[in-house]
Amino acid sequence: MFTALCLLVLIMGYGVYSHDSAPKDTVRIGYLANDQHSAALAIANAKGMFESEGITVELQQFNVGADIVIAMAAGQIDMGYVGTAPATMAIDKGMPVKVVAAVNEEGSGIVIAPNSTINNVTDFEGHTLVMPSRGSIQDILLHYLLQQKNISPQSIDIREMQTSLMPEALQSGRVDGYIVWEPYVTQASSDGYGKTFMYSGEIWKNHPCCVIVAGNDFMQNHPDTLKKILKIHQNATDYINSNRDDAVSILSKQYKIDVNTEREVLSHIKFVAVPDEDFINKDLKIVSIQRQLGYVGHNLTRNEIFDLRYLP
Amino acid sequence: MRKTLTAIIIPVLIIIGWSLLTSFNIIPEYILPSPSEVLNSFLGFLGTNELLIDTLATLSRVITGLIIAAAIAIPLGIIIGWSKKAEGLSNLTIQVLRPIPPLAWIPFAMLWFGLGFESAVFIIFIGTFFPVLINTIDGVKRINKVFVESAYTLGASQSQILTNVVMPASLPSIFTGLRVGIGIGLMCTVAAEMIAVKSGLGYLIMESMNLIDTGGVIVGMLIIGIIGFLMDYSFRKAEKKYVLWSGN
Repeated sequence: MFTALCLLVLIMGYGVYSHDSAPKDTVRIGYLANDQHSAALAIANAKGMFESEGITVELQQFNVGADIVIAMAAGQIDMGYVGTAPATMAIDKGMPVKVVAAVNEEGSGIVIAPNSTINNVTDFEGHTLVMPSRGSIQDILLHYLLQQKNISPQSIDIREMQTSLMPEALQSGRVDGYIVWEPYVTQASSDGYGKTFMYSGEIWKNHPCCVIVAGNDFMQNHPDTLKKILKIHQNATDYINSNRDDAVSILSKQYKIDVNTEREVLSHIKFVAVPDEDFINKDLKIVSIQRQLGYVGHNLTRNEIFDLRYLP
Repeated sequence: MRKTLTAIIIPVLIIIGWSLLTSFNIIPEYILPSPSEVLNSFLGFLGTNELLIDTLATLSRVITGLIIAAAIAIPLGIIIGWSKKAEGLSNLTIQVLRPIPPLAWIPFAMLWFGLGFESAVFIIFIGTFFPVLINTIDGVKRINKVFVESAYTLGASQSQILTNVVMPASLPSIFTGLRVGIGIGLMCTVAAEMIAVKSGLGYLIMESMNLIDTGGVIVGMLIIGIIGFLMDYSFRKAEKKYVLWSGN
């Protein structure tokens, strides 16, 4: 009995000890699991860019973007690499967060089975198409595509599914296609269980995708750290764009993906750190689509969404 | 009347505390939506029939899952509880399968049963099966040996004892198992409705979460809670009425 009790106390002790409790000056950054849009974060971390600036970061992984902004509003993380769609939904709900930098444009795609008979968008009518979650940038892209082609969303069986289940669902014929972020698009072709129907760049050229959001508290209390981190973000973004071979080799190890696939994945993502006028305008267009879909209640202005003063 | 009044004291206090915390902005709305915000979400859902469809969808999945689980778990539980051989044969398997979280079955539910009703029912079945089984086994084992021995002495056959002594005597435990099962079945709805379904209260909760509509999340939570209460209440009533020897 005594031994059993001791064992229980030990196990509890382990739980308390291993519980993530970041020291006070650590910057907690959220990102999406297996999403290569945040490759700049992975590169910055792998190249020791944070340490060399004297910044300690703790990277926290999430499954959907909404969880990142909720965690930020609750003070659990300071910054996050997240889709612009969840970011604007959060700002619309009055959460104290702002978009402080861009991360990427494009980088998603629609995957279908290799022997699929679907040749154009209208062929999806009557078929099942899944997306990561409602409110995601993929949801917005899909609606944008259907609007462009004058197809009613009701004519397609659109459902939501965890990204990790999508390949199995496609292979077993349970779904006819999915819209998803990289690396899942390219991986489907390189692993042979799917083929790319359309890259998101073909749906909407240079569409905004991920951004960096920061909590208002963090922005006000640690402006210098935020500036340093955004400088690192820009350096890492430049690194991916100018040292492609090295970036491919680092990322393929990190994401455990074959080098050729990794190179292909990166070629479908446009990495940008500073949002230009076009990015901002397209982002406002995304908000208007969100408004149509009932995901946001207000027409947000650029000043309500962006705070770009901390960018280098 | 007095009982009802006593029962609502805590819920009323919770709502008052909740209103105070949110209306004076001690807790910001995006962390905990105010009761009026939840009411607004609720009324918003009512306007579209969505809530009714979601409630019916979840109810039909939970009830189907529970019926299938009961249809298998009750006879199996009686056999395992009655026969030492059956117990020896199945105990290890049951104890290993039992702690596996229903969520872990999601990929297989999708591969085996596809998207929609069947896979959701399968997840709920997994959740409800074990409490019903374990309680049935326990109920059979706890039967007063005097009942069984008297029946033998009076010349009853094995099958007569099973149907006329063992089954009625273990009914109170079976009812407890069903009540626990319903609770766990409802707890599984979020997991069950993660597999690309398009309706249900679990789906409503996740959907609202993805659209950062915390009011909608609470509406879904409350309705699941109320359904759980009503189902448990009717089970207890039925038990009182039909299982007179249950001692409740």
